[in-house]
Amino acid sequence: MNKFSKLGWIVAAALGGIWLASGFQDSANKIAVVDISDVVEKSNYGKTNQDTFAKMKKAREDLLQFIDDYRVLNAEQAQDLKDLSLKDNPTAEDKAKVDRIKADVIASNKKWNELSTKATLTPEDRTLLDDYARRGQNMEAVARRWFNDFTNEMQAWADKQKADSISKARVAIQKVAKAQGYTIVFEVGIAPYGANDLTDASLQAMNAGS
Amino acid sequence: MVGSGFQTKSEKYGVVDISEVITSSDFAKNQKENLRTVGQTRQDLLQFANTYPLFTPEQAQKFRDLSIKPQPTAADKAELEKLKNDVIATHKKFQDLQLKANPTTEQVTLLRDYNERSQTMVKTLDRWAREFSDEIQTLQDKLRQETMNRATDAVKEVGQKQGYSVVYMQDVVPYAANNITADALKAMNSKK
Repeated sequence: MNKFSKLGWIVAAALGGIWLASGFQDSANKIAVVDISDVVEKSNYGKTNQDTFAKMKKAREDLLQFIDDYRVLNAEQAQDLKDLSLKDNPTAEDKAKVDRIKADVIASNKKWNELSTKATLTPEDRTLLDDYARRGQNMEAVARRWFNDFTNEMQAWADKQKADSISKARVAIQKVAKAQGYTIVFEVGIAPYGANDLTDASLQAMNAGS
Repeated sequence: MVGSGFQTKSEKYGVVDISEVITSSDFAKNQKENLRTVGQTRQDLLQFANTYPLFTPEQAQKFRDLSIKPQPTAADKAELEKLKNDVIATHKKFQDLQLKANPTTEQVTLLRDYNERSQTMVKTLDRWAREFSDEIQTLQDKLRQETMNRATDAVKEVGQKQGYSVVYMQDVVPYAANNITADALKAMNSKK
């Protein structure tokens, strides 16, 4: 009996020790929150990525739209137009070549429309008409393939940039949290409010680091 | 006891069910209704143009502009109705001509013109459908973000006013003695 009551005291003392410890630990802990998406999106790095993504998207959409409007591109014109339109930093010469190809294709499309409504066709007209129809069919398949390629390419690019951005933001958050002596920092997805919010400080650190 | 005493004195924790704040808020309900209206308008537009595709390019553009105008005037509505009736009449004429055994040269020309309009409209509708889909997706994303921002602001407001150290999402902390969901909802609804 004595032994048990002695054990009881030991357990109670041990629990008391834990409570005491957690009490001291809590008062020493410093907790904060951070909105990592905000840090990424508002950072110079994030803004540059968003601009680049928008430009990439527009260039690809414009190319597909042109093909959809004027389908009579031959294979060589299509490839050249794609390569030049999606070039990161096109030269004046590249731009001039794009304009030339587009003008040629628009002219061919006009000719195709004229031939399509012509009452009587010469053998040459018929050959040309057949050629245009073939090009049109071919370009439909090409446009479908390119659309899939572009979607995958853009997705892969966005995924990579997202991972890189988050990684950079984490480094900035860690730097700020360490400097300010935080024990733990929660993401706003876990804790939407914290009396201490490191978002702005982390954003500054990320911009300073880039 | 000593520990929890220190904890209560120095730290105040709460939880919030942010999904509940969002879905029950007046703002989200209004935005959902707006989105539904935008989608329905565009769906009706595409449906009509698909049934009666004999628009001239000018009519098509006017039809689109008037149909998706956010707050059309009585004059806009009348113009749209007239335009639709014109297109329906053209469609009927096209059907009559197609049944003619021996069309005149003028009628053949008209038939060809109607066929061209129809072909052009197929491409136009394809493009419009894509544009509307993008537009609605963008709008949906924007509204979702705006709703989330408002809910987060409401949680922050309540958290700060009531002196919380940290407010956790209820998904990760399923129970806490302090739950600020109702207060956050009230705060969100108080903002117009």
